[in-house]
Amino acid sequence: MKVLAIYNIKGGVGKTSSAVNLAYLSTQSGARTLIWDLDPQGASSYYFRIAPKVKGGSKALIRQKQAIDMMIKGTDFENLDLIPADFSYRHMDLLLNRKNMDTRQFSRILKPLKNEYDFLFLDCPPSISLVSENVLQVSDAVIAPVIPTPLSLRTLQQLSEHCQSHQLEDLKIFPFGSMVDRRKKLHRECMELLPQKYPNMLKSYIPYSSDIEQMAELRDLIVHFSPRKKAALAFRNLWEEIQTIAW
Amino acid sequence: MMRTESQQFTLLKQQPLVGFKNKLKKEFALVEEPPKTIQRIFYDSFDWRVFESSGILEAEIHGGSTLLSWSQREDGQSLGSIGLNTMPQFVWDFPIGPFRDRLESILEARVLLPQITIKSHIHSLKLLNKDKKTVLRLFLEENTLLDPRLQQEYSLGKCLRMIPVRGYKKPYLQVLSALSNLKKRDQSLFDEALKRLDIHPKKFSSKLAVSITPDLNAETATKRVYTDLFRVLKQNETGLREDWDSEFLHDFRVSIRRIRSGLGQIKKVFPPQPLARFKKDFAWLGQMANPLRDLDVYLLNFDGYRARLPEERQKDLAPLYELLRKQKQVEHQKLVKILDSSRYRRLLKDWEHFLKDKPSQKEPPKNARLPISKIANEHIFQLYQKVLHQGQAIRSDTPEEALHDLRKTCKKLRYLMEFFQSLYPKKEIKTLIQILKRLQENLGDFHDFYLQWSSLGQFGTQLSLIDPASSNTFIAVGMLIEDLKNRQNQARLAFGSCFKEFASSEHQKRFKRLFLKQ
Ligand SMILES: Nc1ncnc2c1ncn2[C@@H]1O[C@H](COP(=O)(O)OP(=O)(O)O)[C@@H](O)[C@H]1O
Ligand SMILES: [Mg+2]
Repeated sequence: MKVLAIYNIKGGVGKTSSAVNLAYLSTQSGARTLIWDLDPQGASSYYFRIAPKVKGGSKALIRQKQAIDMMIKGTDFENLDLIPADFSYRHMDLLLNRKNMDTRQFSRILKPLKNEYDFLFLDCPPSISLVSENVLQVSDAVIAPVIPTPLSLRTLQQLSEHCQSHQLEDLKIFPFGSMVDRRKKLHRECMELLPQKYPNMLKSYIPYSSDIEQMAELRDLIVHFSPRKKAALAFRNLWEEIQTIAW
Repeated sequence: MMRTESQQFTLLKQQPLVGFKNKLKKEFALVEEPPKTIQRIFYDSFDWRVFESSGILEAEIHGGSTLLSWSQREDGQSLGSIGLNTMPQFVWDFPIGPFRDRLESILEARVLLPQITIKSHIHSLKLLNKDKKTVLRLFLEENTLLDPRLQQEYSLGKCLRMIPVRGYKKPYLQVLSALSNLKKRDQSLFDEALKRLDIHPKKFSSKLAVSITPDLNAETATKRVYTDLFRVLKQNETGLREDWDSEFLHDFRVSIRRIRSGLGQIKKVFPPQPLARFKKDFAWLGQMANPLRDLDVYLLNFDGYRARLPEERQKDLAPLYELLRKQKQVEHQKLVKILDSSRYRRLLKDWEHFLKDKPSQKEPPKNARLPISKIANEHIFQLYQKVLHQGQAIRSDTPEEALHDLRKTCKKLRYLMEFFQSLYPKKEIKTLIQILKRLQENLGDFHDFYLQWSSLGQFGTQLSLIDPASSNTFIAVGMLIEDLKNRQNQARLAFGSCFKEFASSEHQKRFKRLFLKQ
């Protein structure tokens, strides 16, 4: 199982939108796919119409009182399962903390799923925390959506410094342009600059699109309800690229 | 872990699907998709590798599109599904990704053949919860099995399949209890189709499948081994003729080599005539099949060859690939002619007669009536000692021939151990075969790399004669040959430690314990 963290320190940059659409495309290409909605706000769970709760909350999960198996829900799509968000994920940090700052707890929790899935997508909450350290620890690659603005460059910088300072130098970060508006000069300039500073920057990007905003209303994925739309095709290209580097 | 299982129920023949569907819809909040008629083709290799790995590969063909689903035969659990424009023949025709990688470890170089075809008329229903999330799937189906051999159709009747969604047990149990008056189907569609068509996947394996008891006489026991080897030979003939994939020839050749090895090694069990004749004819047949196999090997390795060259040189190998491919067609034609020849037909017929003949009554050869266990032990142990002697005599400056000789002796030993496997405790004989196999791998590499660079050199020369302007190809082939020579050298360097491991006193004890009977 390859673990892909969809992560950025900032919120509202397109992490969840990417995680759910990419996860769907992953199943379409034949992979058994799991997505873990780690954000207590439960946006991924919402898109899949799955109640944002897990039995026993994060406590049961982290202390492994409940097998992770039991928390998995099937989505409406074959070969795509989800571990829902839970309101108690807010306190996950505290729970993790008690175990001596151990950042490998996620690996232990996920171990039983290793042979059952090909890809695990982690839809991460924003911010740097013990949760994100655990996330980075188990991940094979970080996929980081960035809105092409000077501010996003700074957050990317923070992210790579964060990895460096936690002995995660080998963990590759792959940024990609999210909500890119080609009409904006600033976006165009930033899209030029980013690959120079980050050679791992992916070539595909997701344009700003009102079709993506529609997802919340329909509680469905754009790659599913409008697979021919520009934004859906952009996700398709993005997935092709990610699959080549991650598999 | 306990998963909610999918369920299947048999519906009565006279039960109209639409009526039943409407009844269900009255009871539950079901959403319906337009009914459809599809073709389901179950794919597998000739030797049913997917089946052997407890899987099913089912292509659902609807309109112009194909959805290939891979699932576990026992519980129907999905192993992935993939939408395809055309059904790939080989695993390397699939898009790169986990599906392909997992399938490759099962199929290797085998072609996927359509094994079973079912025509299905399906009404699909799903149960939605208050969030309009699908929590259960129901399929009402009427299935017809097509038998391509007889150009016939069999009805597989009507059924209801109920597929749970993981983590939604309650609605599943509710619907299940409402269906309690229906009769459960004890066989999957696939299993029923196998039965109807009288297909036994195990029969298509090229693995040796003989079981003999220690006190059986040598003549009968040996014939049983030959009979099974002959089964493999015959069953691979069609695929070889049609060139479905390279494994048919491989298995065909292996059974010839095994037969030849048996004829040469198991002594004084059959009279000198017809023994000599069979030896001669099978040797001829084996030789006729060699050139094609060599070409198959180069072609199968080709991606690997390319990958070992610097990137800018890789394209220069293209003419070599073309030459090999054409050459392969030529050799294939030649071999088909051999299969059509009267010499081959006669050999097969006479061999079959020989295998079916009753044991000779008067003056049987010296060993014919001895218990097979005695014969097997003696022959295996003798060959084992020969391997030890030949191997121990090899120093770093010993000429290559010695390694080739040792390789052949190892092969003979391996075949005998496999022929008579069933005489020995399973675990022990398996371990000893593994120990031998590791040595064989080293010797095999040494030999294969040699064979490859020497013949690729000839092809390189041939190419430069055909097209004197192809100097880049010549250079690329030259680099390839250097690389193969290097690898051959590495295999030679590794021989010492491989043999030391094989001949360790601990392993020697094991061989003695199993084969040296006082
Ligand atoms: N490419 C896009 N174009 C337009 N709106 C987008 C795009 N990507 C995301 N959005 C919208 O932006 C908001 C935040 O996106 P989301 O994926 O939830 O980000 P995050 O998970 O990083 O917080 C959502 O309302 C979403 O619909
Ligand atoms: Mg989010």
